[in-house]
Amino acid sequence: MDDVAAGTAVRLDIDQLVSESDLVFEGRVRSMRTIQPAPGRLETEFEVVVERTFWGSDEPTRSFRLPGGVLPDGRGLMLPGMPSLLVGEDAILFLSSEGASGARMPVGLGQGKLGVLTTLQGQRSLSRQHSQLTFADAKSGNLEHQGFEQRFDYAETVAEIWAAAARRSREGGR
Amino acid sequence: MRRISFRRLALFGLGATLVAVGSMAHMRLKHSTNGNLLFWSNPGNISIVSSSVGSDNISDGSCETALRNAIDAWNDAAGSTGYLAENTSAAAQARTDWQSYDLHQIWFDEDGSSGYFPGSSSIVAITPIWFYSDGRIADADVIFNGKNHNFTTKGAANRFDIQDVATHELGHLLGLDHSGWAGASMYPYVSSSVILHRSLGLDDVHGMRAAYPSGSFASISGTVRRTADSSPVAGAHVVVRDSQGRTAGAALAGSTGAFTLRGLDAGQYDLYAAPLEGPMSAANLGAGWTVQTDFELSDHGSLTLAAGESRSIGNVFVASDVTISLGQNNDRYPLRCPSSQTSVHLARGTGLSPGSTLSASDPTLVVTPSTWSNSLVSFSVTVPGGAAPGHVDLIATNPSGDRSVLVAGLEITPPDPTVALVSPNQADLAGGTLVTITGTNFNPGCRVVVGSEIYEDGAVSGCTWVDSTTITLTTQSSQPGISDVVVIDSSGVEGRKSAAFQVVATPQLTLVFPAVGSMSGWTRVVLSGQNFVDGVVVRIDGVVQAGVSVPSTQKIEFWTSPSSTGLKVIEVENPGGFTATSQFSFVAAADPNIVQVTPASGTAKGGDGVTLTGTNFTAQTEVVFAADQNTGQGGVLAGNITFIDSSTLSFTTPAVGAGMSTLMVRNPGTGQIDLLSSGFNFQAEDTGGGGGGCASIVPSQPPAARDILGTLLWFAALAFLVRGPKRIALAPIRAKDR
Repeated sequence: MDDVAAGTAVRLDIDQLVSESDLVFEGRVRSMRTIQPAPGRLETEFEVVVERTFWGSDEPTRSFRLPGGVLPDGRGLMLPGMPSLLVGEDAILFLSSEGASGARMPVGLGQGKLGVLTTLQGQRSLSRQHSQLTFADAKSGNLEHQGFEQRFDYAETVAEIWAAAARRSREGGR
Repeated sequence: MRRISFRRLALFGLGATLVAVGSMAHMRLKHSTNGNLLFWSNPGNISIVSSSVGSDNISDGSCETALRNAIDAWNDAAGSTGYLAENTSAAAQARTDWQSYDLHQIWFDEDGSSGYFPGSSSIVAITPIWFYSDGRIADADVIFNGKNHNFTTKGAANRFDIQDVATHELGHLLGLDHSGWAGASMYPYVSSSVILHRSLGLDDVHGMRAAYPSGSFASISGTVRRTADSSPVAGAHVVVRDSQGRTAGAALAGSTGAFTLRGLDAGQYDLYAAPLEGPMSAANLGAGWTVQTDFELSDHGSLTLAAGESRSIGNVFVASDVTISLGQNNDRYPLRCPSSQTSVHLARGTGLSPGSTLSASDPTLVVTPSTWSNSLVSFSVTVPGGAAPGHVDLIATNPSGDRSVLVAGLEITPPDPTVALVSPNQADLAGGTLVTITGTNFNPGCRVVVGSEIYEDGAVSGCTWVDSTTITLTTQSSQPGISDVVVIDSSGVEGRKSAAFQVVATPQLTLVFPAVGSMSGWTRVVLSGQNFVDGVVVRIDGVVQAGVSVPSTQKIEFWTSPSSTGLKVIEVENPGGFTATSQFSFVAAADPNIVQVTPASGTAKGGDGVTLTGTNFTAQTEVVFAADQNTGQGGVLAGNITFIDSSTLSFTTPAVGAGMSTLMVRNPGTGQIDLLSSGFNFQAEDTGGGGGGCASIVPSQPPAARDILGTLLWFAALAFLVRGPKRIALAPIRAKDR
């Protein structure tokens, strides 16, 4: 059995992430709003401008809800292991199908999001659970992320996702 | 190796940066927008309820005990007021409104109804935590994904250990985030092959002390800075080892490099700062953390703390980054190293070049690398006999002298306990049986799990650790069944003897009705008493009786087998061999047998004439209404009983309350009886006197014979039907209802 990351979620590789997902796409979060759709539930509604869709129907924007969030009065719901997703953030998302309430889940919790990092020089890379582009070095203003443990090569990973999606199609996956 | 990662608070807009403020010992969950630490405002009484439904993978009650063990692990954290108060009331356990703030429940979502496991979810368990703006936790529940995953309490392959997963999730419920200690319960990764996270590591304990302190503990504070330019290092992992070289405490520096390492006992410590990388990284933390890893493991030196002392050590300088890193998150940590044994392991990483060295922070351990291949090192660890349980750092040093540490990567445990013998191996369900467990590698502080009961060493109603080979306990009241006997060491390792103990019910036999039957057999007998269970065997004079059924724990029914005449011993034996006895007499005379009651109904005030037809009536045969059908006791005698012949009796009904009544015939000379449970219908109002029809009764015969007679009566009914509905109306067919 695979190791699991708490959460607790089964550890997945890119192939598994794609095969377990209902939607896989890259985009930028345009807006987010936390709502309470029913007693005992708190969800955040995201609107994402889609740059490309790896799996699922291709749409220019996508709206979806994820469990958790913080209401304007400061009350909130947290699910340890869930990735954060912020307005203005670029990310590749691996999302489950909608549950009974209409909310989705990131596949494998934090594994279901690869944050897209862009350096000031325009180089892109992918970071798991990286919540946003930010500045680490107050002196230079540069983002120095070389060797970051959870960083993935952007082009290589995107190619891997495309290949996994193609394999899923060939194997008759929906 | 230069590594920088960032976990920032929510930001909206361009370029703005808000970083975590200050530092704290251990990693706590934070409010995702204002950074307040999450906490319970009533930590000494955090109610927790295990759903009575449990996991559908577990049928022997061990699910609840596994969850209870996980709860106990946190409750046993010394120096903390935090306490999970398990509510075991049936009403609370039966609740399904887990979203309610007043119910903090552990439950298994077998159908996806929680909404957290849509699709073919890879999520094994999750802990939703509701909080207020100030960080107070309002509600939290632990939900296992039973829809997509299987669970075990017995180490079954390809299933997740309930206790291991529950211990981790309960840490979240208490407000803890993931830990950088590979051996801590809050380490972010678990595996079906590792159960060592069942027991808390010191870092978990310190987390509880930091969140919910009880008493005064020592602390160390300071700021981590780079040697090169004195710039602060955010998110440095600051760790102390005790004088034995065991990992003893850790903290994560805040965004300014400041840290406070709390919850320490008095003693001598060595402090170092290391990058939070390898198996545990910023990716495993909740929102609100900034973690920089572009520096080398750097020692600060030794210090001695007095009890309760708060020591400020100023700056902790760290050297420039290096190209060696030990440990990756696809390794299964901690690496278990049993005492008195040599164990073989491998660790992945980068820069693990040939010529490097590997050592343990506890100098009594012998670490012998066998292969270095840049991305992994294989090695053995020899632990001396009697080594205390705990965590030990593993340090790799490359030929250039650069170092990387796997914090608490080794867990020293005792060898697995073994359970060789359980004596006696049976006990009554009422409890009170003294049981001795013999085996090997038993240690103080262990607990024994038998079925749904937990016996903790030294606890009230617990077990007693006698020595390394002997544990005794007195059984508690429990449910019948066969169970494993499991000895769980305080380190989490266990020894198990499968199906080693049986809780059985000792039957109690209070009444045999009737106590007399024909030597030809086929007397229907009801036994009354207690603790009758399925699988019970009934013998008379050593002969196993037929047709035994157990409608309830207080009742057995069976048909007698033929026997010689005389007073015999009747014996009831539950599975497991526990027995109860009484007496039964066989006589030569045939049992009386009611075939027909005409009419079968009358007025409640009595006085209606009734004719009974059947067999084996005598001049002394009594007719009794409303006697207890299980005991024959009570009831009212019919009046004017007239013996017409051995097949016919007439009498008048007594006054009996309205409703269906038993009808019993009894031959007082022998005590033989026949009884119809719904033999006569006493009607509340006078419906015109008797003539309420007659009851055609299947004679009191064993099932096969009764079926045949029932068929005959069916044909008789058809004959009535052909002859005319008026006759049928007066002659309803009623199967003999016992």
